Amino acid sequence: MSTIWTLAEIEGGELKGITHELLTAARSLADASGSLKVGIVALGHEIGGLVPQLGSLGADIVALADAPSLANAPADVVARVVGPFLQGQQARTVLLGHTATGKDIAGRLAVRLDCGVIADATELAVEGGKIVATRSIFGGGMWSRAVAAGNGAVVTVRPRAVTPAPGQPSRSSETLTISVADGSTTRRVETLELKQETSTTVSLGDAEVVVAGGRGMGGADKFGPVETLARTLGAAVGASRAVVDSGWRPHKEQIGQTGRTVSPKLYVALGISGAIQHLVGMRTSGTIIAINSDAEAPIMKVANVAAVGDVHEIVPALVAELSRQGVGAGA
Amino acid sequence: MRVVVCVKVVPDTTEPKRLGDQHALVRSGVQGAVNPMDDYALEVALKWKDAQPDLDVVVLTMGPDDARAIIKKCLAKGADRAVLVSDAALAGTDAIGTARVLAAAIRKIGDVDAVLCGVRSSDGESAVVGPAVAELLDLPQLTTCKEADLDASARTVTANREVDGALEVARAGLPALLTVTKASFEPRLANFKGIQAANKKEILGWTTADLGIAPPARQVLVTAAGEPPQRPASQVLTGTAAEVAQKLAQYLTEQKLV
Repeated sequence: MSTIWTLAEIEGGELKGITHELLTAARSLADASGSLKVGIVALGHEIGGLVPQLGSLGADIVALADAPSLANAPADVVARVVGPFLQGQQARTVLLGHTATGKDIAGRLAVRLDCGVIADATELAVEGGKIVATRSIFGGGMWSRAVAAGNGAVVTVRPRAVTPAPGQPSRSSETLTISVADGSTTRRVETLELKQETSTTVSLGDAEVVVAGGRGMGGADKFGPVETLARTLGAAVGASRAVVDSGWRPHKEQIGQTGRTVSPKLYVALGISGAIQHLVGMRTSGTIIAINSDAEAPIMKVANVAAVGDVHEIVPALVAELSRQGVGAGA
Repeated sequence: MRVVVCVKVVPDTTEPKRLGDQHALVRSGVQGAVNPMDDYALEVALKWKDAQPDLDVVVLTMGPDDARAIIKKCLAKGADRAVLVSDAALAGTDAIGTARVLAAAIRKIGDVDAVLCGVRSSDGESAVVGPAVAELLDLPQLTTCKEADLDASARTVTANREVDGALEVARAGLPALLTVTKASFEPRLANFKGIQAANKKEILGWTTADLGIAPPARQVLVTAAGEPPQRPASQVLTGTAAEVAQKLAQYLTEQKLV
């Protein structure tokens, strides 16, 4: 392993946050080793303008696959273009995001590279020239450490597990061009329609702050405090399984074993008792605040701050207090 | 037309999970169940079969021989037949190795128009097996589908996909691989007639030798595992709503969380 490779996620011509995180992770592994380089593959159309930014964020090598046919390329096309290039580079470690895009590509790329996959890593290290990753398993109930023992591994890194380091504009990088073979970009998948869901302003998976409500809110029409506090904190709205099953909230907001796993900087649980199935979906959050009338509820044991009382009284008072301090003004 | 549904038998999610030798999940003596997401994948195939009764729905699983009892439940719901790849040499196979075995079995089943998988397993949670199978078979993929319609005459499948908070409608030509997430419908339950019919349906047992492959080499080794570290004890806030709110606001500000 001489280069740690990553793949840029680009949307609307800009790098997504996960790309900063992956470059930060790769850069710190490379710096710790003293000998490894950081390479990033950027694939799309008219993306050459991103090269200086990728360099400043930590890439030593920027490999560009730039062609009209690569705009919004589906996973099979990405694998067909990037796979042979990384094979040629004898890539042994490839970091992707544990995101929709990363998960779509990870398995296909690992097949191409005849290597393994370590999914949903929260910590990375290089030991004896091999990538070692810590991941949470069983929905966060336990952790395990996995090492790439054979030909290396594609590692998907949990979003927000890494705090992105600021760029260094003075850093320079070497640019490579990936040749795009005829026929390798043939589309077999066609997007017919894309409907952005508008009910939540912040998407749950990307959110730095999540405000979630449970059965303790009291009813579908009593989620006002959840939404108000989410607006004030710029947070995404989440829900427990109980309220989704009761039809109070849509499934896309469900957090826990049968919903989403989230790991925001701040998680605020309102009227959630904290069944184990819920806890496994949020226990890796940075700070957990729970507001519940039951001081003995399980959520109160995992919370950093457990506020005992009625959510319908405390939350409006909290929002008022925060807005007095200028938080959420104009939101 | 033929559809293969890849199904994994996982520990029943209500049972506590334990790790044993080489940090592998202890499966013996633990109640098994069809991975919930795979149940949705099977339901998509069975909905297709409702509309097109001559559709051949084959359930494919890799696992120990006691997976048979669980696979039978899939047959009772309406799948036509099942293949169980079972081989002592496959114990501890990692995600990509599993994909290699499944792909070899799908090749041996032959003439497959669509492969359906759950988006991820409730025990491994890597979400990479489906796309890896697609790459091995050179198929296009539609992942995280909530619903999918099969158009047999046009030989296409059109799916509603859930992608990072948005809903995408996408179409792929057949053959294709789909991964299915929790759908807007509930998987059907087996009825008495189905359970009786399942007794007459075939569960083929294959080994890696039958597939003409060597057990895949392990690319990933688990070297350690444990319980997550305990969080520091909660700071408990009590008092009037106004007092609690004031203390919360102070905490958020001090910790630079707002």
